Amino acid sequence: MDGKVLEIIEKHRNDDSKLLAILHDVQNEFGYIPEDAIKTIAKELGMKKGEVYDAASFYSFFKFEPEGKHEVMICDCIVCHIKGSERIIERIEKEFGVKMGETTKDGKFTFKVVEGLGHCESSPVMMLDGKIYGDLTPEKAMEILRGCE
Amino acid sequence: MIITIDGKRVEVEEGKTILQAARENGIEIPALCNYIDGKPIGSCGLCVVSIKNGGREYHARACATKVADGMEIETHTQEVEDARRTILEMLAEEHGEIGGEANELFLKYGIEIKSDKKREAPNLVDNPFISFNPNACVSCFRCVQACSLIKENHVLVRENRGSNIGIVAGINENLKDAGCAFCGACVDACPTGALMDLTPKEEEGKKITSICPYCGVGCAIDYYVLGNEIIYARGSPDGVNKGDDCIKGRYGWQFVHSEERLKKPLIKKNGKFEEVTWDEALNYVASRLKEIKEKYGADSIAGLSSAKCTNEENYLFQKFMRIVVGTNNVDHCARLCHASTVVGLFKVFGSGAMTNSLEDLEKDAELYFVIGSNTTHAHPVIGTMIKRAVKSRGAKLIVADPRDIELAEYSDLHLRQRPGTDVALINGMMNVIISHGLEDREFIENRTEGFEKLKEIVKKYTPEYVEKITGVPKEDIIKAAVLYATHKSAIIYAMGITQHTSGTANVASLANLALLTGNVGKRGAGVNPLRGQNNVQGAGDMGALPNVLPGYAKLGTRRAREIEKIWGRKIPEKDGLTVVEMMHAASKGVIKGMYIMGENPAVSDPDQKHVIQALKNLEFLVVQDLFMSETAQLADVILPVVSSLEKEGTFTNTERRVQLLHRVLEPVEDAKPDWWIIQEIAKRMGAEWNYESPKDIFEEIRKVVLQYRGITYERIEKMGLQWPCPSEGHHGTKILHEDMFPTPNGLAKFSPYEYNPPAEEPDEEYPFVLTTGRTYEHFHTGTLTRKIDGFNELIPEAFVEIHPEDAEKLGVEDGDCIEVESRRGKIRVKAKLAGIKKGVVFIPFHFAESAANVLTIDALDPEAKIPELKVAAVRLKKC
Amino acid sequence: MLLLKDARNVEDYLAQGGFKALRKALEFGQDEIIKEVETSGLLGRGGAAFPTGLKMKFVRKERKTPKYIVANADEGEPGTFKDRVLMERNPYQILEGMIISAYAIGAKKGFFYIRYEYKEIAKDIERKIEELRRLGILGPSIYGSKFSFDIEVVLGAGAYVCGEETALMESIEGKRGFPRIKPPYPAQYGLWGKPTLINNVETLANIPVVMSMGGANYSRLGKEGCSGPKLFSVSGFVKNPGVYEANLGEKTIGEMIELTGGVEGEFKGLMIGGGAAGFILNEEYLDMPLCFKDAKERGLFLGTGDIIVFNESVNIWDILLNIAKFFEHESCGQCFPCRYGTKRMREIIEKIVRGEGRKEDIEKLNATARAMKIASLCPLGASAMLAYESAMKNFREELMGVIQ
Ligand SMILES: Cc1cc2nc3c(=O)[nH]c(=O)nc-3n(C[C@H](O)[C@H](O)[C@H](O)COP(=O)(O)O)c2cc1C
Ligand code: SF4
Ligand code: SF4
Ligand code: SF4
Ligand code: FES
Ligand code: FES
Repeated sequence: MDGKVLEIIEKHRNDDSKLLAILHDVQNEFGYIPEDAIKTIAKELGMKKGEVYDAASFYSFFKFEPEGKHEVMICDCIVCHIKGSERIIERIEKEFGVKMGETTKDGKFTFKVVEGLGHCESSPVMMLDGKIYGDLTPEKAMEILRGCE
Repeated sequence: MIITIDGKRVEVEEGKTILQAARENGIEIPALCNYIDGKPIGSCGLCVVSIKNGGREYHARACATKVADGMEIETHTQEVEDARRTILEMLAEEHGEIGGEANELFLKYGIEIKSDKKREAPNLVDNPFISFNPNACVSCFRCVQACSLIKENHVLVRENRGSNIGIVAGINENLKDAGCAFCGACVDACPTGALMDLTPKEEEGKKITSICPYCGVGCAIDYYVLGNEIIYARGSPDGVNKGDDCIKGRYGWQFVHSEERLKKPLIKKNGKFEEVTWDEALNYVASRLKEIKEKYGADSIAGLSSAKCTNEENYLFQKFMRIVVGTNNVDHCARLCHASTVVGLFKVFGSGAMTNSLEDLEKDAELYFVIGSNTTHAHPVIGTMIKRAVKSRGAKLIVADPRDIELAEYSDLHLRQRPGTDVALINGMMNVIISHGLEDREFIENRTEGFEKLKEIVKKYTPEYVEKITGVPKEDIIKAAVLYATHKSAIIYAMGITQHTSGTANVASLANLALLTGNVGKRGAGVNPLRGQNNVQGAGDMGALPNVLPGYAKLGTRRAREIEKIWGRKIPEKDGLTVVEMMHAASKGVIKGMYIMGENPAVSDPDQKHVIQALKNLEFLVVQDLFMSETAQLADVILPVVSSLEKEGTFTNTERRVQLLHRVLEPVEDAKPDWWIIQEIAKRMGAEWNYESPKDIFEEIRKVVLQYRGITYERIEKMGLQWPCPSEGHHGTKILHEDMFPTPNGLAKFSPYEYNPPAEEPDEEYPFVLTTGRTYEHFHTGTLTRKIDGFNELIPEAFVEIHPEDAEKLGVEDGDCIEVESRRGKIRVKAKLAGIKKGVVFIPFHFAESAANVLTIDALDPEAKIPELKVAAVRLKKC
Repeated sequence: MLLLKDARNVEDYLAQGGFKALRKALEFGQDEIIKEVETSGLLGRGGAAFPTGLKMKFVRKERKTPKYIVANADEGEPGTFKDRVLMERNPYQILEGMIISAYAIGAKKGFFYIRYEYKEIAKDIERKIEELRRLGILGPSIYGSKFSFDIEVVLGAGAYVCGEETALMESIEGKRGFPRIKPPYPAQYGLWGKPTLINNVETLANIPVVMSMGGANYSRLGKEGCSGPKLFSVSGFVKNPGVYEANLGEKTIGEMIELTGGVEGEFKGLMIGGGAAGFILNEEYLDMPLCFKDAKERGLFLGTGDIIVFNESVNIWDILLNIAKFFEHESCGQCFPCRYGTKRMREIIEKIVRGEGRKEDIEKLNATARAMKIASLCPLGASAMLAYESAMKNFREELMGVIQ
């Protein structure tokens, strides 16, 4: 693992703003940010490991434990909320037998409620592995999720 | 500038915050999160005030807002007070009962406490010294600020955000794994009692300030005492440490309450120790010593004084050896740590002590050249000072050490020299300085002699040549030399320099380097040996050395005769034996009797097997100690003593500061102070001594030791004075050699040395270089620290640090057992993969059961007679 | 359209006269550019409506170097999505504005901070920056001039507060996004303590417009003292939600809603001001011109220029609960008033929504609002209660109706 992390750090060595970029790449590589990666990053950037964690744990999209294969973020901010995001959330929770913030037993999905995806012209909206799906209904949402490998 | 505060027009200095201005004018603004003035955290929001300025009306934080001319400030408007009350109410709702400053505010604002919310504790709670109550933690981040800004440790950090925010250690680890130094700065910072020292009792104790019993920094520690028990301790703001402390100062006092303390005199009868009365013990000791002296002569007796005992006791001990026993066979463990400092610095500067003071080093050094000192571990308060200077004011740092010591992380340049090659390295730096024309010509011209000879000798130490010897890349040698020469640079060193056959050469070379660049006799510069034990400096000053008398008076000189006059007895003129020579003499049967005060040579000295055999060979051995040490077990008589927390007297710290001890506790049972014991034995051997107190002895010291003449107990009641202090009107000397060197002609003398390899170099049979040293948590031979559970929990056993690649070749993984063998013996220890130069291994020497000194060699420096504890050839094997 | 052009690739942008403004600017003196911007009356589009020319002047004046420029594309306000649409449709204009501004203040390095939710756009912007380097429009000696400038894209990681300028800078520096105590302001003490100009991406896209037509002409677009084109994010219950461009002061809120095809269902109310940190208004405000000045006169602000329209299906307490949850989750947690205040607000409103609300709860909410307003460290905490306070004013009956 160390080698991969070092490679990522090298890639960003000359950026002025590197920590966030490195953390993003590490998370892309491993699906989360492992403790050992934090130690390596700290060492290479001349920081203390706690300083790296202090920064990283602030942001909601950094994860420190492995999660499901697919990340599903459902917007429940004002616009999506008044346009019915709650019904989508209810439906998902029922169909998959999980609560928001949890991962399905088979490890396929991790569901999260988020604050504003910035596509309010097509509310309600969800983001599946970084891709936006808008004008959702509970049925449409289920269909998209079922179509997921 | 003029501002108006609560209707009052007041004059305030520019740059002050509103909070400071208010306080100066007697106005109290609640300010829970403000910890370091001018470095606002800004979390609590309680200090918000109403401001009118330049036609604008607004609210702002008093702790973070600087005053501006014409500002009108209202500190207690209805609106502001309501906001404060609301904030406190919310705190009470979330956290319920909390202590400290927060609770005082609750009372003041009449806040009702009602909360049963429970928070989960982060992993940091798992540690032996510090407790954490997550419900009381209001995430004000004062502790985080203390750990980062004051200590530069960055162990405590924040986790998550919003209402889930909290503090954790490292990556939510336990404190030890997160790299905590257990300095307690976070505990001191916490305004709610969420972080506290784990103490046996909750009550407040009575505060008594004394000097820390451990290292040579000589921190003043406030001990809080209840009955005859210390409850907790913290660095005193009134000492050289200015409130700072380390794990040993803060928690290391726990040994005084150990069950294992010796409480009664013991005499070995038929191979077993039996408790006896003081009278019996003292009579027995006196008669046996007399007997040996009569039978074999005074020089068949040797004494080891102690760098852990007070000046008064050291003074008395050497006086006892010299004029009651009648021999100069007196030495102490400084022989093992800084004998070469005394000799080397004396040679160059005419005085063997640290040239500068902590205060000017902290404020004014532009560059620290740390060589052979793991400062953050061995002298933590100075280590912190360096880290802070580097981080907060951008001071430069060069570290020369084969290990990746903590300071290396903070350094601009880390030179990993092969152990024992320091002379070459320093000569190389001087070569570069001269060839680049960076020497200080004026200083050399006016204040030194012997420059030509130096030039001649360092000529061949080109960077290329030195790279071959030291393994340091030549570019780094050049960089180090240029950096050092172009800044106001302070050299800081410790045992990594002194404990070599070339110890004196190392020290003198560093002194040469400082002279060459004019880095002596001014603030923020100098050559600064860090003394290991709390009173190494004092023990030397008191003449607990075989070749000099108190005040470094040479035997047989005019000054020696003056001292004879004061003592009223003849002082023998023949140099006595040094520590290692005593052991050799004992094993050869030349030394028959030994008197050892508070030392543990059976663990601390090189070539342990030989030392133990030597001690066993004695006809009579008397040991004074707190505990049944490895050495005490070999004794015929053991005399129980009190610790420095139970007595009065003075210690002299590494910066020559004579500091007064205050008695914190009453002695345990029958234990006695060392000075009392020495006097009782002396009396029984015919001396007419009647010192009533340490102060009596000190008054005599003032007459004998010229450097101490102006120092009195009264003057140092609060803060010590730095010698030389020639008269009572003198304020002590912060920086040595400002105008003149204490040499006959007032000039310093370049004393160049050629590089000589260490006594034992690695070869095919023993391919690794072993070097030894301290850990942060333990001290010396562990007699004190290993009595404390928490310390043992942190570092329970010895280990050997080894480079991962070397380990791999041996097929060894972290935690595996390794057998380390030298020509003198072998031990088994756990492997610890670490950042250390390849081919070099490190073992701490605190652990009697796997004593590093079984392996070390007792080859001596020819001038200072210090043994080469830092280099031995060893071979390793997986066990 | 001056902003909402469709110029997704560089050929299109050049064809529509792109980068002419930059070339013109490079012939101007730095102070002259700033003068033009000042004359234009351009106000920041990121929410605070601070005069852009003045901010440039502050940074230009500073002696410390290096200086930095930051494009703020963290767009996190619920109901705001105009920056996204702008970056999708007309990204080069933002970059052009950034280069001109950098030249004017003497910055050699810029950062483009984009929220994580827009990471695909971030990748696209990165590609476009690379493209501009190849074209000699970024990098050393731009268009052969002595001016060199480059841009680094920084992707956020999910924190609304990082849109706040000082939090954003902490984030670029690789730290947690805690807003700093101001003053000092970014113009004096920005990235790594250096003078820094930070602008919203829409603000930056206005710079080439100012340069092309000249400050004086620009100042005549829209209304006196409130000039220039502005993007409006219109969402909620309207027929065609989306981003619309209009000069400031040109249209009223009602007219803007009409422009989108009108209300879906029966109009109940609306929000303006920048999503959660905004105002809940009733029909009395439909005739208010969309202009910073008019808003200010009515004790409001336009903020980012978003309009969220409510119909009869919307319950105001429910909206307030949603907003409270938003703030509780997005408070950075640095300061007590906001950290505890947002939580308390959510707890009380939850209780009210459950039907257990009492008079004391309203008093508690009011006290909390006051404390947050004066004692919060940054504007997030200080504005978290705006929605509640304005709703209390405009929908008092409905809200108090459920209180016992
Ligand atoms: C909580 C908070 C969030 C903000 N989010 C954004 C944002 O997403 N985008 C933005 O441009 N400005 C945002 N701002 C405003 C910025 O702090 C800053 O005023 C703006 O970037 C200045 O640019 P302008 O002068 O071009 O408007 C936010 C402010 C606050 C207090
Ligand atoms: S004890 Fe010292 S090092 Fe450890 S967390 Fe507290 S302040 Fe930091
Ligand atoms: S432990 Fe104490 S000092 Fe640290 S954040 Fe909590 S309340 Fe503040
Ligand atoms: S007001 Fe809120 S977001 Fe702003 S600093 Fe305070 S806690 Fe953070
Ligand atoms: S509120 Fe959900 S995308 Fe805007
Ligand atoms: S003391 Fe000023 S914010 Fe806490």
